[in-house]
Amino acid sequence: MLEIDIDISTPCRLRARAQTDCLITGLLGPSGSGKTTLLRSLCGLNHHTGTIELNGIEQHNTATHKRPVTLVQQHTQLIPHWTVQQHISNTHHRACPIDQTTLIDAMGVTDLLRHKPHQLSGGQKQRVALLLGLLRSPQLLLLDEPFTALDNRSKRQLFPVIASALQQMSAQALLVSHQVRDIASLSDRIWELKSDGSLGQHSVQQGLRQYQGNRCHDVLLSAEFLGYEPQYQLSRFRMGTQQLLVSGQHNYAIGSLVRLAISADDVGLSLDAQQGSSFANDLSATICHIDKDDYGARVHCQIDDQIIEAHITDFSLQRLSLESGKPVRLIFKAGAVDVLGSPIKHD
Amino acid sequence: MSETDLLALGLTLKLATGVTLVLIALSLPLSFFLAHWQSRWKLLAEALTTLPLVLPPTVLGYYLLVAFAPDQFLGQSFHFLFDQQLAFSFAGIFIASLIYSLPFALRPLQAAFEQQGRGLMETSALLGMNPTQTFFRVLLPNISPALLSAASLTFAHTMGEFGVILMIGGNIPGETQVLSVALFEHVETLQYQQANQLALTMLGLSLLVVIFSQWLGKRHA
Repeated sequence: MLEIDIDISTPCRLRARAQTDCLITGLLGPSGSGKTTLLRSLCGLNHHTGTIELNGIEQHNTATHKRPVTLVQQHTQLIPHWTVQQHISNTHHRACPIDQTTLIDAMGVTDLLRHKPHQLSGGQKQRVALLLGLLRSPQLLLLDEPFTALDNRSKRQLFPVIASALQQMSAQALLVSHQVRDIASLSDRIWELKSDGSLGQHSVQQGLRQYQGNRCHDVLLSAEFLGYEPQYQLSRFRMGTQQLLVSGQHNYAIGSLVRLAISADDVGLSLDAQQGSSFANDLSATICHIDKDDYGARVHCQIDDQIIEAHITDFSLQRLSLESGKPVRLIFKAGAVDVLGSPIKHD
Repeated sequence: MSETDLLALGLTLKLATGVTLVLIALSLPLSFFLAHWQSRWKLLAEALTTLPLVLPPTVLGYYLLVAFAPDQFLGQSFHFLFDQQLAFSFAGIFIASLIYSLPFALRPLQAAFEQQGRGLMETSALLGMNPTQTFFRVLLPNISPALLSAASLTFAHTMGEFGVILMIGGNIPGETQVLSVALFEHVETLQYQQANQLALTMLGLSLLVVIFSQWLGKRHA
């Protein structure tokens, strides 16, 4: 459990009061709102007043090297005269339940152990920095844009490794990323730094909606993995009683809950079930409410206890006479759904 | 080479080695402190530590001579502690050389620490290393080229010192007569052959120091 109540005056003014017991909490906010400043304060690199409690223990007066907190930055400066292996052996870790070799391998660093920082690419440096952050076995891992040099494939490979390592260490993480998709994939909760220097707390769906505003945005869903169909290269998921087809092969245990994302711009509405259509997904839902925006309308449709949004034009809204409570069909392509990984936890 | 010339050579090497070791040991913490000190007094501190670089050696020598006098605080305390006077002694020229060569040890080290910035310190602390481990295992190895250059500059500069030593040390063989002073005396007394020998020795030694420091620098790079 992380509880903060701190005041920071330089380099920017903010007053943060929040708590979270989620594995990974996303930190969102406009540029210059103090995300980096907040993270640097939490690990003791920036001056602040107030309290930082980690699992009930006050950290404010503890020096950085003694805090069970570490920070991975976008450009973490590695020690120029050390090899990656030397970085690893010089990292002071608390009693660590994770097997080092397995973690090094899972983070894709095994072949880099003899390299010095100048021999590493940007992406390799970020992998090493993330690995060192985890090997420090902190109670709180602060991640400040740690994935900027990694491609989507690497991220898909690393995200589950990071999440499961944190889980094994009973640690928490705070993640800052300008890639909303990274936050959507990993976080269970969102802290939003506002421009007035205060901190808002939201569930991940609510936080993303708030942050993305009227722009085209992702909606997160939880679905049960049913299996992969190699002849069509499609994965099958279930939401309530209805099935969902998603492009590509995904390897989850059958029956496990998985986090999916779909953009409201990719979802269409129809009043009848589709007979002759190439859309792989055709789900029945009920409209719960409609938001008008500058570009048309965002129709919130309920399937069991989950909401999918469809972004449609005013023209379609009128033509179909859509209104709250009306049953509709949600249609979208198998390729419109992204599989993000670990399920959403609700608190 | 005559016996007094050999004595002068030995004394010069002893002085330069001792001063280099002491100055590097003093300058490491001082330069680190100055590099990260944020205060309006920093400018004054930097000016004071750079002053020996621009001050005429005779001026520095004059003030030291005054301070070393047995009725002055410095001279008096030294006499009380070691039962020996400071002016015209090896201890006197040693202290004078520490001040005279200070900028040559301090400046390159401070510049290196400043260039290094805070990033490495932060990384090291985040990996869990305490400030002592950080200094000796992370920061120091990373500025070793500057350390070598500071040491060789200090050594060479102390070896060639003349004005200050003449002012406060006079010309006592085995005590304060270093190579540059002995050379001056040979010229004064028209012993050009001996002067030539000493000048060549100095030239060779200086060349060696420069070559050595460049070789170390290249090897490191």
